[in-house]
Amino acid sequence: MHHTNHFYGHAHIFARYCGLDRRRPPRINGYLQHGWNALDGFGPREKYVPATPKFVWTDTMRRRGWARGRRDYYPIGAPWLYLTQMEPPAVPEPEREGTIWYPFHGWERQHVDGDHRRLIDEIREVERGPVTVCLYWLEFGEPEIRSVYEDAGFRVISHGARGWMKKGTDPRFPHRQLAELRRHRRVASNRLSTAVFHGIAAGCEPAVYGDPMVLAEEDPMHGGVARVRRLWPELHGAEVDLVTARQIAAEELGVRYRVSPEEIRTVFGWSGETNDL
Amino acid sequence: MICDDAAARIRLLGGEMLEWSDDGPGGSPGAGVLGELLRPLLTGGRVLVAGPHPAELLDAAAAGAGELSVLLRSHSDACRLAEHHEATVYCGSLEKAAFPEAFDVVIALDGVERLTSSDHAAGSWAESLGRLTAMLAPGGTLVLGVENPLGVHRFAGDPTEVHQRPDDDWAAVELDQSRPVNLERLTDLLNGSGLTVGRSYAAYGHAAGPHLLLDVSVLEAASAPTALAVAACVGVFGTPAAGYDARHLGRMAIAGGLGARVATRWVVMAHAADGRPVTSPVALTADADAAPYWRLSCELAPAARGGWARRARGDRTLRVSGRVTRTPELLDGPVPEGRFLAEILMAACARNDVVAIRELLGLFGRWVEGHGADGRVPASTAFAAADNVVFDGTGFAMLDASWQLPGELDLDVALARILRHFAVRLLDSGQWHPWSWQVGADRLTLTLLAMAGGTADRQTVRRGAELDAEIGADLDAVLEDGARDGVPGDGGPRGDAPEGGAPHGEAADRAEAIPYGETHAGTVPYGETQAGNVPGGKAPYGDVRVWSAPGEDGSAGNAWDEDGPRADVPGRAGPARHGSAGGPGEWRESYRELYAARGRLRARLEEAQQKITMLERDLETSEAKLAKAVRAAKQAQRRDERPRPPEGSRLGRMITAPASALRPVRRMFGTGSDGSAAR
Repeated sequence: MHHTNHFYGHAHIFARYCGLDRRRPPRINGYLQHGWNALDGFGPREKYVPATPKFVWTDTMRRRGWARGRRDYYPIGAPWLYLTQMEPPAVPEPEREGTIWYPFHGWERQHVDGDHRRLIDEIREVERGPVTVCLYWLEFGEPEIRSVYEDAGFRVISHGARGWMKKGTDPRFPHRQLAELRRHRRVASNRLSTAVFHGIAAGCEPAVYGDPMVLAEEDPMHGGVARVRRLWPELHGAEVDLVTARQIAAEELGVRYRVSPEEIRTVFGWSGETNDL
Repeated sequence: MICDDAAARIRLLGGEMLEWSDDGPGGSPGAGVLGELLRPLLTGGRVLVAGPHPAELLDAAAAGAGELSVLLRSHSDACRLAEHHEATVYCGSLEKAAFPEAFDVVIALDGVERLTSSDHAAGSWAESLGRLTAMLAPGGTLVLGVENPLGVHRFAGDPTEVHQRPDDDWAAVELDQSRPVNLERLTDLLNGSGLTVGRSYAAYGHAAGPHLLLDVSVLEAASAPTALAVAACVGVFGTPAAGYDARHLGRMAIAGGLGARVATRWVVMAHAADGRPVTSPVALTADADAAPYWRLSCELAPAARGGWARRARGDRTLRVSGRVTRTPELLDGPVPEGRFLAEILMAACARNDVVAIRELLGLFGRWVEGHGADGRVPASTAFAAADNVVFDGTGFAMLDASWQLPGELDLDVALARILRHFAVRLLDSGQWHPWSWQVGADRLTLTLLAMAGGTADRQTVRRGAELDAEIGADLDAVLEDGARDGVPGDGGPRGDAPEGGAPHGEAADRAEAIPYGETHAGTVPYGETQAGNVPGGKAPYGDVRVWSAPGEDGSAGNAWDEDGPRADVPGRAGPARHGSAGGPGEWRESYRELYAARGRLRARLEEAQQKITMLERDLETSEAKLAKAVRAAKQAQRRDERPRPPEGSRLGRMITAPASALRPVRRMFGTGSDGSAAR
């Protein structure tokens, strides 16, 4: 239905979970939340077809959206949880090492260089082991930005493109991310974001520190970095309590909202389940 | 943008709701009652006001508290409050609330439901209460308001519970087993938190400010002041014929000793250990429908010889505007009991019991007449409106005799004012009546006046309407001032407009056709309409501002001929269910809109009917002219035709009847059947 359903190969994960052709996920009858935010999981100003379900990760998303006048939420948990379930870690788990660092990516290309340099200094100050920097694919495509991190002695990677209008989607994106996260002991970012929660779920110790790169024109409906910091102060800092972090990540990714393949097939409108009955 | 020092007074706790406001559109009509209740508590000390509260109450709290803190989940509400009050405003979810020190008084009259933001899954009701009580210092007092889930405001049912749930209804509170469904359960919960319950009140009327607070034990032991309670509960004129008529159930419950069980809310004073109980009155009431300037809070107490006695509290100075005055001392004394005249009339109207209406109005007319002599009565009799007069089966009595006009009036004019006031509200209520659906307020007044035995002519009705308008303008004029002096942030001009006495004078012929005008449509049919204390107070839904103050534009309020402005302001979008305790849902709004639409259509119909009348008159005139012209033409023709043969005559062409039928005509005109001249 909506092209964002295919972002990061999320539709592909669910197709595989439901026993369908993972390379050609059918059309999803609804909107799939494709990333974490402190709102309802979707853009604050986007328009949605009424009475079409919005598949969100958690019930918190439903409450926040409800208060904004939006309806038709259907919590199913994050696609990440389904992927990690289908791709269990190797036993015994190989030794983890170093930190994977996700710099918050903005679209302001002109100032990005200075921001990145300052960030590198902060990362060097905190991190003791080897550092892998994972860049947004747009930034990864910029040799100048890449070289800034490479010159600092960091390994620079990208998980791939999330795609746009169902073109260029890299269905291996989440698989690469999972493999990378499982190699690292720590996951860090300058903002609490999807990648940090993914990292916690993949067994990393999280950290959120460094200049959060507040954008001048940040959408006030999100409430900004400060609001996120007030809601989850426990996750901010170079060292955070792992037990608390895991509890929060489980809640934010929606571990207790996961559903069965049968339910997914029904609510996604797959295999004609909804019409046959 | 808010100013810096206001911003400095806001402490963000986390979970603050952006793009959100808990300020209901209904304003805070009965905040005076709560103010009176809290007065003995606000004597310095650290005070926390948790949740949304009327602005007037915060003024009182700010004045009385040593140090005032407020807890709100809405960021915009917090900013507004910080701008207008010298208080520390904590903004965020109850789950995140942490204060440097405990409080001597915690005021949570709105309850605990609206303390948790959408960022947190609310704990149970009892858990939220526990968080509140934990904020109390030793010896502190908690003043808690709790919505009664079985309150009279729910009698009419609310389809929004099935679909179209409002935006603040994201949590299934009805499944919360710890939520108290009666006072005993509430008391248990408070005792469980280590608090001792002092007085418990049953509250009737608007959520943000009840019209009436009654001590529960008194309510159960003695009989309640039923008339006052019914008016506070559901309004004298009742609800539009949309749901179950809550008036009768409410009255039966109150009369049957179940008053506390069907109260809209409960208000409980609870003290932590070592607390000193505060003496508070047995019952408090306020005429919430009057403009702030006119409002009076009264204390009620059981009278020695049965019944209830009333005494005005607070500012007991004389209120004056124009010719209207209000003397608080006149409220002191016993409260009469009985059924409202309006209530009885409407019950008869609903059954087409015209005989009963005639009898009752005849009795009433004689009672009014008895106030004076020789066809003249004191002008204050004009305040004996149908929602201010109770009938106990044998006689009438005015519930609120504090309103006065100087001088004397013709009996018929006083009656016309009273009956027109009723007629407008009857039509506005949309309830059944025996007369044509096209009947207007003035025509209906004329009819009622005749039934009451008065002089039924248009002149009398017009004078009654003018009087009604004058009273309305006087109340309104003060309302304007009151609104300006009134509480900032209370919904702006719209929020205040309705609380004033209405422009009772919807005297324009058209006005009756506009049931709901620029009122705060967010208010409830219940609650907002305790017209009992403002005789001729606002219409339950009406407040159509058709009236220009006399002399303002030279029209001198002669509404009979005045073309009132079209009040096609529909009701505002539906408030949330918790937003106002009479809890109108959106469906009620849509009823309002439908009624308003009907009113507008009726106005257009009347306009069209007037046009038809005019056109008919024009038609008659032109037909007469035509007939005259035809006659003249015939005469001329006859003159002309005499010498000439008639073939091709204009007359001949106009007549299309068969030749046989035309024979007599032709004979008359002197022409033969063959068209040749007879002579």
